[in-house]
Amino acid sequence: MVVKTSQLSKIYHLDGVEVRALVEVNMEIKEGEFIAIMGPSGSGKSTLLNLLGCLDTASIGEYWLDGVKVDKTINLANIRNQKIGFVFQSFNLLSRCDALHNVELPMMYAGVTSKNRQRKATELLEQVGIGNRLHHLPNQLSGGEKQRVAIARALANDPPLILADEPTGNLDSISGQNIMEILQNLNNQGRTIAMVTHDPNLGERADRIIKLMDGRIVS
Amino acid sequence: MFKEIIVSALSALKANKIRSLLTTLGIIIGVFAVISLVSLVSGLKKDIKDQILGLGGDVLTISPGNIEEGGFGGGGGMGAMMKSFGMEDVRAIKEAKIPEVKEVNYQYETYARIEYGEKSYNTFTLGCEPALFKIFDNKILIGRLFDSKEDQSGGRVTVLGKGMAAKIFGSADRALDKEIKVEGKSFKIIGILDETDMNFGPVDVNDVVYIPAESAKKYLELSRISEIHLKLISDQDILTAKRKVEKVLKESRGMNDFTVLTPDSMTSLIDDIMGMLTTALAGISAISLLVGGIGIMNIMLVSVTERTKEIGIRKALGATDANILTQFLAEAVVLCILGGFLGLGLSALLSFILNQFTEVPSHIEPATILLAIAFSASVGLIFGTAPALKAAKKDPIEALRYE
Ligand SMILES: Nc1ncnc2c1ncn2[C@@H]1O[C@H](COP(=O)(O)OP(=O)(O)O)[C@@H](O)[C@H]1O
Ligand SMILES: [Mg+2]
Repeated sequence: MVVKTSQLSKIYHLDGVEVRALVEVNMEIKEGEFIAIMGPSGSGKSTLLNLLGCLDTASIGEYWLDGVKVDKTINLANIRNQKIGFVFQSFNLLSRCDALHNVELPMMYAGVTSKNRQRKATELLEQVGIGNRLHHLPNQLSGGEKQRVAIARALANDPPLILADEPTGNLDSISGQNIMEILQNLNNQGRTIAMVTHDPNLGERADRIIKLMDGRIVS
Repeated sequence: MFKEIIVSALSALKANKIRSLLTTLGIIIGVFAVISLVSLVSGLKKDIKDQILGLGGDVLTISPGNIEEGGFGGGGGMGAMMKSFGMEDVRAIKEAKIPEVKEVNYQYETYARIEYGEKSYNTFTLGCEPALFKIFDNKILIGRLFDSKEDQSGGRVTVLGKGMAAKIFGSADRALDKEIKVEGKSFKIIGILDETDMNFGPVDVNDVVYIPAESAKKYLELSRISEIHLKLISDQDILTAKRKVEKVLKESRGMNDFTVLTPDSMTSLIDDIMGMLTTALAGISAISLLVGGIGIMNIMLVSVTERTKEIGIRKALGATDANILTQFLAEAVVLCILGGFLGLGLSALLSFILNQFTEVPSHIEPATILLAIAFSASVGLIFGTAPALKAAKKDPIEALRYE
């Protein structure tokens, strides 16, 4: 089991008002699964992804990631570095760094030597089909190419879980299709992926859909 | 990891070249000012000490005013309030026949108008006894020095430094036996002194015009003796001679309003003055670096805000708070050190120009360089900490949402 949550809840306090962004979520993601998280705006998709991605910790409830219990007592930065690969809607590449360097970043924080980083990053970029763009800066790349770099970066430390928040949201439909194919290929190679999406067509291509409504799982 | 941090800091600074330069301007100027001034002071100190030591270890200098009581330079300005020496003081010392003293010499000093044909100069002129040349070991190049007879009778003869002779006549050997006018009175040039690298304070000894002391009194209407020099039999007798002279002068003047300077006391006086100057400089440098540091902090804070998104991305990828802290701290330190080096380069340039084209000595010591770089690095550390902490503490989710 890569992910297991129990009664996972997140409550925000806004001007004294309680906002229950996530309510008693129990879910599991098995190794090699590709799940889609869907639901209307404000239903808690991003909140759930933040918790799964160890960017934040739950108010109530428990979360095990790859056998580790995630709470405030552990070093979340190291967990993110080793166990999570993020793919964002708006790519979130470092604009000053070329494609290669962007992919190297997670490995740099993991303490991988410069030589090994470069070799691995080159491999990954070739794998997502842009081995000929190693030294392009993000603003010299198309949206689809940027997202490929981001996917390569997410794979850098071989994390057990890849989290994608609307990875095709900023792309035209053809690039979106390509990115979706890459993600599916990765899944076929055994990667575990959780993807937030609005697009029912994309959702259908996942193994399973988790539907959220007002912070609760409805199906 | 260290190399990566530096490379990444450099690339961040390179991305904003103009801003980086402007930010570090305070440090550049601070380091430039401090290094230049310190070098100038240490150069001057070296120069002045060389001169004093050049006088030899067996000369006592008697100056008006009492240093210990703050009369030297204090109490209303040098000279103005201080009773200068008269012939009676010189006579008193001579008549005391102190066994350790070989020569007694007094001198009148003024800037006199020197004319030859159409040419006219305003030149440092000494009215002195022939003994002065012995005391300072001046060697004659052409002609002869004036003798005591010419001195006592107020003869209208003069001896020129080689530089002065060359200035007026083109070359020193053409000067002999010519008549020049000193303050309108004509004097015959009887000798030219050989070149020396000694200076009287700012005055180049090679440019001095010497006339007999009596003549200075008679024709230039000088009555104040500015300094009395005593040449001793041996430099072993310095302190004994000093004590005896002090006793004689105190009795003849009725008060202790003078100072007998030994070469040692002169160098330690210079050390005192330079020490004060250096302290003042340290104050200035502290202030300028403080201002520079605040500038750095300001811009780094702005930069942290602008780069919120970058911080969020790095944290999502696994950067720890310490990683982010180090990154921004490194940027501040690298920026300051670069500023320090630029300031250092500017002062090296100034020092080179001064040494090349002027007489002002300037001397950058290795310790000064190290100090400047260490200082700029600490400014970066101190003033970079607040921005770096701000960056490290950012919440990753909010930072990622920042546009
Ligand atoms: N930092 C926050 N502070 C207060 N309320 C928040 C915060 N983040 C999210 N929420 C609230 O939690 C709910 C779920 O938000 P979110 O997870 O972003 O939904 P989705 O991604 O599905 O659109 C929303 O009502 C939102 O307003
Ligand atoms: Mg959302």
